[in-house]
Amino acid sequence: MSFNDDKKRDKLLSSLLPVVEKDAAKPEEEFLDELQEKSTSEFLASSANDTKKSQIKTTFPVWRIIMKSNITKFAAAAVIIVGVVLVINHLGTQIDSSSVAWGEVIRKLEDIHKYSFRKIRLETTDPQKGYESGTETKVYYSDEYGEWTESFRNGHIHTRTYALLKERVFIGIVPLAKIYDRHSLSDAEIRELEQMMPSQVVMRFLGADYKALGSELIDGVKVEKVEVHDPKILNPNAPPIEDFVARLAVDVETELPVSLELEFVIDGKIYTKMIFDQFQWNIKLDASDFEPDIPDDYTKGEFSDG
Amino acid sequence: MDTNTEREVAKGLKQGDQLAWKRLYQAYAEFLWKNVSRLVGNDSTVVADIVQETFLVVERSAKDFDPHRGSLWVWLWTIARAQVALYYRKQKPTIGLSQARQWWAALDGAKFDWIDVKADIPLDILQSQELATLVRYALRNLPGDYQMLLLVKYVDNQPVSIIAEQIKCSQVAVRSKLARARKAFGKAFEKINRSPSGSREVKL
Repeated sequence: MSFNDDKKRDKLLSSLLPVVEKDAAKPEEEFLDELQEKSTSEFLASSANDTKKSQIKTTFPVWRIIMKSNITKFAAAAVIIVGVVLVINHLGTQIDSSSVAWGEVIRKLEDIHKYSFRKIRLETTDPQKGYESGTETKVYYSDEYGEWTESFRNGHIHTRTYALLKERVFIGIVPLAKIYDRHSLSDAEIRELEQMMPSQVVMRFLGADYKALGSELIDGVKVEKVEVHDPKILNPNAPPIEDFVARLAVDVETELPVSLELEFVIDGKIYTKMIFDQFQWNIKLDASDFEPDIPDDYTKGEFSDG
Repeated sequence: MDTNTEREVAKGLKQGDQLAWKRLYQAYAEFLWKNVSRLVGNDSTVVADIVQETFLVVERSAKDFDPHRGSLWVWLWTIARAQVALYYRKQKPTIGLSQARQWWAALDGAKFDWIDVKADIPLDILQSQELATLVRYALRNLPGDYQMLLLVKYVDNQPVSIIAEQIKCSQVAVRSKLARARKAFGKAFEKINRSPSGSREVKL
């Protein structure tokens, strides 16, 4: 991407994007006040009573505001009735714990050749005190071109990496230090890249001794979760780690992964949490996305993303 | 919301504190409404439904909010975006988008000059419902962080310094993400407006 292209896009978007504001619905104060009241009560109730919360989580919420339109009003009323029936029928039990066809998840993933996701890595030596700010990485992958990543630490760009399959080359850039590194990708590194493809990870997940955790909502999406304690699902050649647990969540509707969370301990003292989420499947990526931009004043140095 | 206030709110949410919930709601309810309506249009019933569903999810997962995974602002929008996507998944394909695409395809060659920023987009085009439909559709297909950055930068006209404060990133990082977001929007817009084979494609 050239600077001029981006300047053009900037100018174009300045005139194009405000069109979404033109006929946007103005905030309805009465509705928002009512929603504040209801949501505050529900928040307090669910915080005060974990048992009650677990029941609410497995049913439809009963406090939805009946909306103005007839269709929505009918739907909302129906939801309330269904919610009540579910509370009566399923008090303390799990609802619908096996609606994902896991084989279908793998099949769908094998048909996806371009995707992106976010990876967060957090570490601490004292889990009681919580995790410290870590590294957030946006990963873009294409079967055809390879992988490029952009990492942020404490809100600053930390590194950019490119693993380019056609050229069989790895390029790492550290903007803060103005250095870059370039070396050939070995067969082992390419294999490792392939091992980490979501379809491969899910396949190893289901080949391991996994435990179904049932369904829950993540950011409003109904998911089913499975849990595994064998670190080999991550990478068959992974170095020894302890207390490993991995949880995979799959969207019940799309049958595609929504998140993968890993927790483990390194050397008995570094408690590590890794989260892979914000998956975008079948996105548009082309050769221009995999063109490393190394400014002229950067010098060759040793790349480290640690 | 500044970093300290956000930490206080996050701590309060974990403890089930009513004040924390109110601060969260009052800081962001209108913001959510405004941005959801930018994506779905002028049907206030639909907007209200999505805002409500978003807060239902937020209420259930407030205790799990981890400030290390991003700012409250970004977290809320991630949830809202999922609700918008869910709403559209449940909808039958509307004729609105297909009409808008036909409208765009029928425009004369001047549109290529607008896209290349060689000429200004005429007012009647900017005010057309069809263009709004196309822009909304392209926006909806972007990741949540890109959507939010573009809306705040180009619709709210917020400077990069304010955006950086809101999403707890450096200004350099925001500029880099904005460049990615612009490119992603360009591709999304190009995808929906792809011309029939043999004719020139719209490239941003």
